[in-house]
Amino acid sequence: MSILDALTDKPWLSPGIGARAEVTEDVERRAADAGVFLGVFLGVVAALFALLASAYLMRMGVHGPIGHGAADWARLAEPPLLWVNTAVLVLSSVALHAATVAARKGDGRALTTWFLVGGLLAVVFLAGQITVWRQLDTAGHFLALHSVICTAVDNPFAPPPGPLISGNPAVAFFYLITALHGLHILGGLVAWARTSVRVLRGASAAAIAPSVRLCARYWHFLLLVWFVMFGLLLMT
Amino acid sequence: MATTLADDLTPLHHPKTWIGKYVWSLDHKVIAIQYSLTAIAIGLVALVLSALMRLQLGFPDTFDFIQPTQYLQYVTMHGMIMVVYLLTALLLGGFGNYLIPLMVGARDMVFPFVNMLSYWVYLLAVIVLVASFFVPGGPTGAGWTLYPPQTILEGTPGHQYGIILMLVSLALFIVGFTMGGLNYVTTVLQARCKGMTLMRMPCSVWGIFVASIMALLAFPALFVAAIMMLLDRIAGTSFFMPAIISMGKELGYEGGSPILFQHLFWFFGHPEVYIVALPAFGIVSDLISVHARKNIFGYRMMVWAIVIIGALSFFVWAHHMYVSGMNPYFGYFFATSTLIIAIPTAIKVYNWMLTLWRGDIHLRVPMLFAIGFLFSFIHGGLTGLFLGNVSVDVPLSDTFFVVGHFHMVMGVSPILVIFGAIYHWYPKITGRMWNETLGKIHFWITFLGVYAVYLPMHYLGFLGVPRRYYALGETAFIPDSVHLANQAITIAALIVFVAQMLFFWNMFWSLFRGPKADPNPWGATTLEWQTPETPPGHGNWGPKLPVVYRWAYDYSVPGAPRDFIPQNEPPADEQHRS
Repeated sequence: MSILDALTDKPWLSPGIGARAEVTEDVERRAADAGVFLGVFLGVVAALFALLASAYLMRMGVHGPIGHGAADWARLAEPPLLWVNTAVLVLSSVALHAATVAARKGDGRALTTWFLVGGLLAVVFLAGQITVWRQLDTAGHFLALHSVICTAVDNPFAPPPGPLISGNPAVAFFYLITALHGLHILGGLVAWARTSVRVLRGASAAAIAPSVRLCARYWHFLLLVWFVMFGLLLMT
Repeated sequence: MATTLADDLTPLHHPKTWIGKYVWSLDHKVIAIQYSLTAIAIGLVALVLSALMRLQLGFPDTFDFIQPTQYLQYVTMHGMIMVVYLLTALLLGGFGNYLIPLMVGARDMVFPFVNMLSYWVYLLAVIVLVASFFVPGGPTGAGWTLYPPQTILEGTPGHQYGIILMLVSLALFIVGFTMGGLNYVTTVLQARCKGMTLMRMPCSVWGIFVASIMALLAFPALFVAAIMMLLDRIAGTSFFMPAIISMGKELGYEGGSPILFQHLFWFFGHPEVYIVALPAFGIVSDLISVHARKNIFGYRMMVWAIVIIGALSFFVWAHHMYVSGMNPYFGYFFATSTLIIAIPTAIKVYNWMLTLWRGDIHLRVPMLFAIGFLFSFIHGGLTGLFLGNVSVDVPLSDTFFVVGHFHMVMGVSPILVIFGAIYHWYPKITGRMWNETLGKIHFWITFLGVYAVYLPMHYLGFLGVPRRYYALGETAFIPDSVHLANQAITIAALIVFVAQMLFFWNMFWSLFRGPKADPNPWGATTLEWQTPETPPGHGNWGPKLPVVYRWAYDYSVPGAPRDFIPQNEPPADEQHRS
């Protein structure tokens, strides 16, 4: 039943069991539930990054009438390493896709290999992103992480000794966007690690396939988010 | 009828210990009660704060312990707690958790563990919020909208630690809510029992469902804003902070945009109004229908109106910002969209009244509150039409007219529905009945009291009395009658405050001494009243899931033996077959 049919149904006219299908096997039900759950969650993530992007554009001052022209905005030269990281993330997504294909064919060995490779590549991506942060730090766009942590340990509420992220808002946004994206990858890696444990303990390809599919979907989505955000960072 | 249902296969977690059953519980009903009690507890704090504010406004120069600093902190914390930590948490976390699985015929939420986590993160958010009362400098006094730059400038109470805790608490709340909200949406989409089509769901579920989707999409805006402001405060970034000289000292900020914060805040803040209102709309539809023994008038229109209001509410946010220095043409757009939203809202109001029309109205306590809601909501809605127009809003901005308006429309109205809903479902939740007389006294004092409180505020607003001021002092345009009105409002507010203790006493006493309740005392059709046990047991439905044969509003059907037909009662011909 399409959503339009559902919403134009006249429920008072037709008592009876109605068109809702029989409840299916439990395992498939759970997978379908998780699929919907993930789908809605991706909507939330999309909203988060869309809002971040619009905040970015407004702060830049492209919308004169609603934002304020930002004289302090200085273009940030993105470190070339970001291209390598992007390639790694693409490969990570490709590997997870290969894992879903293997799962569909019931090829347990290929599934294990591709699934583990995909996750490890995501770890490499995160390491690469942290390296980019360090490069920016050395380039003078400092992010005084240790200073934050040290002060926080001494006295969690003490005011910062000085600005911890250098004044240019482009840099601050860069840190914010990459950090939030990285945190989402990290969350994905938690799900990945849980599934990996099941894979390594020898769960069958059929049993593991739904989780692998969900991981892959999440990965592809975060890759898409990264493309959009990276594009935004590059163009401005 | 031989249907295999997967219900018996659903692996339910069966707790063994008391702690597993009532503390770290995965049961949606226990989580709902945990959510509700926490929300009500922190709501009581906000209620006390409002009483303190009223004391200061009604009798300035009387209470030494209320200084401007404290007053601003009361205003801020009262607003934030009431909107986010009480209303949102109670309507979605409390009623959403309790009603969704029971009303759609599920055993539990789809992901009970995530659901439990949602509550504990919410509790953590509340604890962080409460902690801000005890740090040096106290909680933030920036106003619940937390507008920069004043929020983090010296001179605003709580600029040291209070604001940090507030922002952290909000971020935690959003994380916790997202876990719950994903569950509510997924459960409605996936876990409905056999025969429960979307259009057979009670309006309550529709309201909570749409509000959950909206909250999931709107809260990220507040999340982004909170994180960015937190960075401005602790890491010295300039997302929102312009170049500024504070107390003769140049601060390190440069070029940030305070208006950007306002856009983000209200992109969350306006949908938030409907996140609170839609569940109330849904619940009140069910209360009116049950207690008027009539099907809800225009069920499909009611559902569509909920969906349309939900969608439109994302396009009206800047009507909170007419005086923010925004381009006036934006005001034109947002005034138009604001007025358009009145159409589906008016449809709902007419339908409620047409449901009452020639109904077999039983004026029991839940119904009294539902009808009270109609009054306060129409009242608050009409003043909203005034404020939605730029030319009227500009002179009334930041006056008590606004305070009167939004308290009527999103304070009093949802609270009346919440009271009605608690009275309505209390017999199912606890298995006992409350005291009718106490309930009626509670209703009449509350209902008349809130009018005594908020109606004069509109008049004060017309006179130009500003909101959020600690004291009015000697001001030429403010006549003596304002002070008199302020005293009257304060006395009324205190009476309403005390009357709430009747409610708490009634609930508490009935829990132990109330007469045992009938499983379906109101003769309602919806599934939660048809559970084999009252209160519903673990897994809700005994060995077999219910099967739904009809919509939720078969009241007073001609020819039927009773004046209601439960949703899970098969039609006559199917009864023969089975």
